[in-house]
Amino acid sequence: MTAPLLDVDRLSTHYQTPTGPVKAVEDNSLTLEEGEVLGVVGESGSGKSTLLRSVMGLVEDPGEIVEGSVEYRGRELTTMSDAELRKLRGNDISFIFQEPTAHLNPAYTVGDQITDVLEAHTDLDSDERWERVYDLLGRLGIPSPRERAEAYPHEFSGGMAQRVCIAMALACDPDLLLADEPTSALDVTIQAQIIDLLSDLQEDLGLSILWVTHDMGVVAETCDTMAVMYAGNVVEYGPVESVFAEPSHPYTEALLRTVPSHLDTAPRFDTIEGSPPDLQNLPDGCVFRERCPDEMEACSARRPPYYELGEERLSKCFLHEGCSTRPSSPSAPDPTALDDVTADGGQPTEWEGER
Amino acid sequence: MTLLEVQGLKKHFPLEEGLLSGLLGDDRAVKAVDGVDFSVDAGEALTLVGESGCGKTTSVLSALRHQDPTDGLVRFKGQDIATYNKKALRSEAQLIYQDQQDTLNPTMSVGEAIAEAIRVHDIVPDDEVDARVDELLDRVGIAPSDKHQRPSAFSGGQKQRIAIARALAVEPSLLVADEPVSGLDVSVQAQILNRLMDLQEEFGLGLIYVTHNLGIARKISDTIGVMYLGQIVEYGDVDDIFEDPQHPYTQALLSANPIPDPTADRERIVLQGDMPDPIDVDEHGCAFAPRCPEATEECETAEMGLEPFEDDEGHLVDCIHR
Repeated sequence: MTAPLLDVDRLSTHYQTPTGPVKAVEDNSLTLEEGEVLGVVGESGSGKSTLLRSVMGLVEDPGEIVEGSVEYRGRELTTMSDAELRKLRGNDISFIFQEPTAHLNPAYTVGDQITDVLEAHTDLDSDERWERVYDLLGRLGIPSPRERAEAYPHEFSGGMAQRVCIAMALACDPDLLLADEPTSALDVTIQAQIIDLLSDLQEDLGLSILWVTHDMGVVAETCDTMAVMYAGNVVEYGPVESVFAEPSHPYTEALLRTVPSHLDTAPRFDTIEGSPPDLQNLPDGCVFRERCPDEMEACSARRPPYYELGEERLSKCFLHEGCSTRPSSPSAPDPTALDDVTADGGQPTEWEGER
Repeated sequence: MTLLEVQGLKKHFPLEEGLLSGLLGDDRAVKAVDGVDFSVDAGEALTLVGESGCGKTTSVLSALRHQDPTDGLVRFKGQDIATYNKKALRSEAQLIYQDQQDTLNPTMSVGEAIAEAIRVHDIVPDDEVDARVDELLDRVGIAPSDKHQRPSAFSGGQKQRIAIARALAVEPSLLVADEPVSGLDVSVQAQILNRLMDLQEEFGLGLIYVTHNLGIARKISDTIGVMYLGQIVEYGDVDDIFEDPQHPYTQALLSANPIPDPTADRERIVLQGDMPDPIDVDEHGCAFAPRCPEATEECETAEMGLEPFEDDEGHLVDCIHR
């Protein structure tokens, strides 16, 4: 099996403040395979956007990656020079964000902005660049692309502006799209249009997407695998269908129960008591234990490691004590770790098989 | 008992105000609310649901005279709201907004803010005010010992609980909540909404809930009005409408809402285009027709209005094909 497209290993990103570090991302591991859509889901402040920004070295001061690695096709990104990163962004990896108009320059037409990207990253001549713009806008369902290319960002509705941003992100045929809540600011019928569009493009272009969202519904509809974040930790990771069918971390289980669905007829909302912890003052041991219905003695003693549950699933919870734990670096496995794989009596996992 | 009854409510915002446009005869207007009917009984929860710009908030604000309506008849407790005592109306119909940052005075402790509301409306004798404040905070799940803190000391969810306590302090008969939890995370939303539903039932309050969130609408409401472009296109019992939506817009809206279940059967109706600007909406015909998958020529000219679906007075639809 080939290496994953993106391999995040034990990544920690902290924001340094006068009153101590805010541990926005703490010891997180996940992988994204070629052509897959990985959803990173969590509540606000869970660290999902910081994780996405860490992947591409876009963490803003006073934030910094304090530990761990991010490999893109085997190339380490955390130590890469700015010039190399810039080349990678745009050509290989691109972004879309929640507020499309905040990421478009209001003073230039959308056509000018997309041709700028093409000029910086491709060898196309001017005519070819404009042809590419018309082609992209048309492909993204923007009516009369030749006229609309001459329009300014404010002349587009929210949904249409997001289409422009997607067109710009796809201008140089990237392999990986990092999407930070790309539909959250849109109304539900417009969100449906953008979800359909991204899903079609993903299939047509063989694109891989890292999709950050707070919406379990969006994850269920769009993603192949998912990572659930809580207080800076990816507490659960695995294929979407299997995680929804059988959540293994108590937070995932609770979060799935509390999502209000229009199909749910119960008279009251399911709740998780309490609120997420202060990232500057995290509890000892497991970050979720104070709200967890399954809290045990072990939970306050130390942070739970990643337990491997098979089917490429990981869970940071002592309920799975007895399962093997994920070795610290997948690219340089500890040979003895492989022997531990069957500790739970199961077959070696797919995950292990890769090494 | 019917608390609030709204008939033919309109709220138009003139596009250009001033001498020049007056001379030029530019009388175009944004028709934010263009003829809506709804009513709320004591103990009933009505939700107005729709996408941004559909007029759900403006409907409520102009019905309760927070904005002057352009047209329409509104009765509060059977009396024309235009003649209702304004101070009494302000205490009997309480509003809770999305962002409590803007509504809680940052320089006043939360206990003082609630006490002030109680005193202004003479709810209990002065020597009982403190005890009343403690009781209210306790009811919404805030420790009464925290009442000396200012709003900045509380999280978003706690502020919203405090806002609910303050709204209940003046013993209203009608509560209006405009997206009160949409800025909060789901785990916090659920706690507040359960509390709100408990209190609403216990005090027999009428509740008008305004939201774009269909999952919340399903649980919180008895009755629902689905709005599109300043009009209610479908109105009735929430379970009837969610299980068997009739208006093509309601059908599309429900089908577009992501289902948190990867194995769910999805038959999504994806609407083309955006909701048009509510300017100069054609007086005739159906406002949804330009995006409607079922539109026919007739729709462009037909007389529209909510009609009972299959003679069911509890399920009204504004579509000539039903």
